[in-house]
Amino acid sequence: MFRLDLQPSSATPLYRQIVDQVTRAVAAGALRDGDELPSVRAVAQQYVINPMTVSKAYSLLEAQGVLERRRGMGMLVRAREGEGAATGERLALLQPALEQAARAARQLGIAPDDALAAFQQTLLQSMPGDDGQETPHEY
Amino acid sequence: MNTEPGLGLITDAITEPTAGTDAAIVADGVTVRHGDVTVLNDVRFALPRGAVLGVVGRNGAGKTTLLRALLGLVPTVAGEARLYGCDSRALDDRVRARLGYVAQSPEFYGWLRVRELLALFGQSYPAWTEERMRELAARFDLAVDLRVRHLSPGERQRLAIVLAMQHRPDLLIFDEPVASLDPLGRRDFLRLLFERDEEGPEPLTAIISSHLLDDLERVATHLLFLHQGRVQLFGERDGLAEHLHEVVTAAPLPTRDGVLRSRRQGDGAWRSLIDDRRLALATLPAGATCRPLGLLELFVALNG
Repeated sequence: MFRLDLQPSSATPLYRQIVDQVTRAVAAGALRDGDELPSVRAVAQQYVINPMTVSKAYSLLEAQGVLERRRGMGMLVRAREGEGAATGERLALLQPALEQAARAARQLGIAPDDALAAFQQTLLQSMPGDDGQETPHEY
Repeated sequence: MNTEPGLGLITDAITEPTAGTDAAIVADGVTVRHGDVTVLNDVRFALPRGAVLGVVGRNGAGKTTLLRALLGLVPTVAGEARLYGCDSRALDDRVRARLGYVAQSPEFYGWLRVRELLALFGQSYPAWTEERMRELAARFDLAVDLRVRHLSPGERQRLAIVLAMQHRPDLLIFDEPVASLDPLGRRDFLRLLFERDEEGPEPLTAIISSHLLDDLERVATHLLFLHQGRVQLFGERDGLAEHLHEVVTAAPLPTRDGVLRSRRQGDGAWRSLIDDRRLALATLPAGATCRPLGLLELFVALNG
C-alpha cells in the first residue's frame, strides 16, 4: 500500500508534497501502471488535510499524465511498460533537490568534499530499515 | 474579476484580490475602535465560497474582534462586512441560519443538561435533528445528561463545537476552537470540517483563528496575518508558500515593491521577507541567501 509522508510544517505546500511523492513512487516503480490511488476523500480523511489540497495534487498529476481519472474507480497510475523510469529520468527528478542542496552548501561555505560526505552520510541514514522517515521539522 | 470596490492593493500589506461576486465573506474597510484605541484598521479581504481562512496574529492583534465584526457583534466606525452579500449589521434569518460560531470563551447556561442546551439552540434551525445532535455529541465524547456547569474546559470547548455545527451551517467562524482540545480531539474536529460531500451543493466556508499553526497548515486554503489591527498579508496559502522567501543579506535591501519587511539580526545580517512576484530573485545582490518559509517561519518573519 502506497503511503504518503506529509509534513504540514514544511515550507513545501502539501499539494506539492503529494505531487512529488507520487511522481517519485511511479519513477521508482513502487507505483505501477494500473495501480489505483485512494480517493480524494479517503486521502483527506486519512492524513487530516483539506480535500481541495488532494484534489489539486491529483489534477496536476492527471495533467502530467501520471494519473488517469476513471469513472467510478478513482485515479489510476499511468506508467509505461518496463515499470518505472530509467535511471536517467529518476536522476532528473532528483536534480532540483540537488541544486538546492548545492546552493545551500556554497552559501554556507562548505567544501565540496565535505558536502559530498554529508550527502553520503544522509543517504545511509535514510536507507530502509531506518523506517524511511525524514527528520522531524525543527522548531 | 474583482468586482468589489476597494479590494485592490493596500499600501502596507499585500492582498490578493479575490473574486467578489462569489465571495462568502467580504470585509470592506472594517474599522473598529474601543475608546481611543483603533482595534481594527481598514481590514479588507474577500473570501470565496468553499475556502478555509486561517487568521493568524499575535495576542492582541485583533483576531477576536475581526471575527466578531464579521458576525455583526461589534459596531464598526467605518467600513462594512458582508456575509453572502448581506450586511453583517443587519443579517437576515436566511443568512443567520447558515452560520455557525464558536466563541473564544463561550458562555453557557450551566444549570441545563448538555442535551437540553443543544436542543434549545438547535431546534429553531431547519436542518437540525435530534439524531444529528446526539451523533455529534457522541463523536466528541460529550455525556448528554451531564449538567453544563460540570463540564471540564475541554468538554466545554467540544460542546461549543457541537453547538456551532449541529444545524449543518455553510459558514463557520471559529475563534480558537481547539485550544483546550487534546491532539486527537483536534484531529476529530478537523476531519468533521470536511465531511459534507454528501450534504448538499454548498461548499463549507470557514474562518479559523488559531495559534496552532500545524492545524491551520492542514486545512487552510487562505491565510490572513493581522498585526496591530491591520492586514499584514492575505492570500492563498499555496501562493504565499511558493512566492514568499526569506532573504539574508549583508546590507539592507532598498525599500521597494516586493520587500515586505527587513530587519537586522543579532549577527548584523539583514533578513528580509520578499515576494518573488514583485521582485525577481535574480536581481538580489550577490551573496544573498534565500529560503522558502513554512507557516511558523512566515509568522516569525512577519512578527519577530
